[in-house]
Amino acid sequence: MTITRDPERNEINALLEFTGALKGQHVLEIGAGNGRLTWRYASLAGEVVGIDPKPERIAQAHDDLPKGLLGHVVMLETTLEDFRRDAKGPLFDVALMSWAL
Amino acid sequence: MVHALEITHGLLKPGGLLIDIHPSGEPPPVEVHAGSKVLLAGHVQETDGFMEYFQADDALAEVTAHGLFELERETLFPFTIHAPTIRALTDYLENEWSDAILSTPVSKQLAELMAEPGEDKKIIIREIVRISRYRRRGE
Repeated sequence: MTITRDPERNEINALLEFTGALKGQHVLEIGAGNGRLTWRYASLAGEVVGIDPKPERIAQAHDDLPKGLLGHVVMLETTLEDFRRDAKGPLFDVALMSWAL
Repeated sequence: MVHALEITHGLLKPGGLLIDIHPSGEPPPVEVHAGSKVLLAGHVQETDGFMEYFQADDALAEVTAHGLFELERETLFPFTIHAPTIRALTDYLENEWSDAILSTPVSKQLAELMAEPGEDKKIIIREIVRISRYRRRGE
C-alpha cells in the first residue's frame, strides 16, 4: 500500500518533449534527491550527474540506482556551490531543476 | 535562488538548456476516487502559502531580465500523487512534503469520504506544475 507519484508520466513526458528526449545530452540534475525522476530519463541521456545536499536522499539514490544505469549516472552529495567550485568550466548541455529552485 | 541560477549559468555550455519544474502555487485539490466518482475533500495548504514557488518565479524572471537566460517555452501539466489510504497519505506528507497542511475540515471530510461504502477507493492530490525551458545566453 504505497504512494504512487505521477503514474500518468506527465512530468517525464513534458521533460522529454522540452529537451528533444535528451539524446546524448550531458545532464546536471540539481536537487536530484533519491533519483525519483532521474531513473526515468537517464538511459536516454548521454551522461547524468545528480547532486543533492541531503545525505539521506543520496544514500537512497545509491541504494535504488538501477543496475542498467551503473557507470552512466553519478549521484553526489554536495551543494551547488561546492560542485561549481570543483567543476572545470562549463560542462553541461542541460541543467534540470525539478522542485529544486 | 538568483545565486543558484547564476551558478547554474556557469555550469552550462553556451546555448545549453535550463529546465525548471515547479508547482504553480495553486492549492492542490484532494480528491477521493471511488469507481467513476470523483469527490473533492478540500485542498492542501502549505505553511508558507506556497511562497517558495512564487519566489522561484521571481528569481527566474530576474535572471532572464539580466540576460543570463532566455525563456523559450513553458507549459502546465497535472502531477498526481495517489494514496491508497489516509495513513499512507499522511505518512507521505510527513516524510516528503513536510510543509503541507491538511486542515481539520479537509481531514474530516477526507475521513468521511473514505469511510463511505465502496471498493477500490483512492486519494489523489492533483498539483498543477509548470515546466519552463530557458536557453543560456552569452559565451
